[in-house]
Amino acid sequence: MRSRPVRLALVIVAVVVAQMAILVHLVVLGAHPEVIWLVPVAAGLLSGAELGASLGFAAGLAVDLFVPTPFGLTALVACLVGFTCGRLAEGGMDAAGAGGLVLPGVAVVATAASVVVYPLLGAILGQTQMLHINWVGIVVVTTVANVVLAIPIAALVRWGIGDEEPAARKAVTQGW
Amino acid sequence: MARARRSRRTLITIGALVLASISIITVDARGGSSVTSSLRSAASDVFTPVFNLVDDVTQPIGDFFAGSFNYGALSAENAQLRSALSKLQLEQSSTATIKAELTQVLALQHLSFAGSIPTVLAQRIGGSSSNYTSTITINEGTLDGVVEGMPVVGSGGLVGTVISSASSSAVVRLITDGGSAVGVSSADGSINATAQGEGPTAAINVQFVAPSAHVRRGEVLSTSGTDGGLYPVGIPVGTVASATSSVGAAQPSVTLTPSADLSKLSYVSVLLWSPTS
Repeated sequence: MRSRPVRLALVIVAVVVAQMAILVHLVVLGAHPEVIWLVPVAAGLLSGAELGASLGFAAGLAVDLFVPTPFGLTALVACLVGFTCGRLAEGGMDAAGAGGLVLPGVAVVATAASVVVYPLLGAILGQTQMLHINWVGIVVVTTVANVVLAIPIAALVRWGIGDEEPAARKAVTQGW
Repeated sequence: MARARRSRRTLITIGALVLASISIITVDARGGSSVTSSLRSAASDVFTPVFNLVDDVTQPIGDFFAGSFNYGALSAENAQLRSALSKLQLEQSSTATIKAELTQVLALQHLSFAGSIPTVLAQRIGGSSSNYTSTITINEGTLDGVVEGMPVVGSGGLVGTVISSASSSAVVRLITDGGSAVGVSSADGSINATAQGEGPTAAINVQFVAPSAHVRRGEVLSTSGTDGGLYPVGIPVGTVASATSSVGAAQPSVTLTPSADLSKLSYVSVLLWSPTS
């Protein structure tokens, strides 16, 4: 399959199906994993800010179809996550660096930031009930799950991008 | 030069995406919810069978691996004995589960507080799809007359409200959700207040209680019907779990325990009653 948009669309569908059909049932400490944040993290680190933000937006919008929170909120946060991770990659951070610990490390920080920013943004947008949540459970469960799932999701996103040499790394090594 | 151009393009892209996100959120919040509801309903109709299929396929695999981990280290004899014991326990557990579900269904057939309002019996088929809301998914939708805004009750009392419905499924916001607010009153009418959800792990908070109101612990508060007619009058919402008055406080602090057991919902009844009726 040569078309990158088609592959990326399949990646999004696969992640959304995994989230809604499997992960929502894995409730621990009153919360379930949120794998969706790994898509913009992986895309940003592997391909730069532009694709990170775009894929985050698209994946977030797909998830917004199935969750009863404000429509577009997941897209907004995922877009910002993808942009930030992409900027880190463009600044020289290698997803495979530090013995492979960069990706899980960034996944932990980005996931924790996402699940905190998400309800805060919701509250700013008038959905103050989103602050009445199990903060500790959500942060612990989502970050632990995303450490485990970071590498397989990154592999899936890498397949979707279909570029052997990451664009961000190209940019660094070739000076744009 | 090329780097600056690319950087500018990236900033334009992120700016456009952020603007698009905020626009979508604004449109959704300011009356465009019918558009997003339709989108969500269509997506649910298309993908719910896929989700159910994947769930059905992956659940036995998960059980298989769990079983392997549990019994892998034991001898063949022990494995056989434990397997037999597990089967017996499973049968016993299944029987107990079936009995509990039957009790719920039978109780839902005789809802005194529903009066003459027609109801649709629905099975809970899923929990909340988001960590930030308290919702359940039920297996009845628009094909059975279940639409947005309809109250949902359990055997003990009010469970929540339908917030979105697809053709054969619907999402119900529980009364413990932070976005839920129900007008409540006591049987003698001395208390008129609002039961506000505080999240799945917290008790329901009762707001706007008159300072002079005498709230007794154990008292049942029911829907008052004064909140713009969102609920029929007289559905039990919760039992007063605590009621304290502090000196100088504008109102007593009152919390409720839901009348319906929200943690063990297998079946619910949707009241075919719209807020405008």
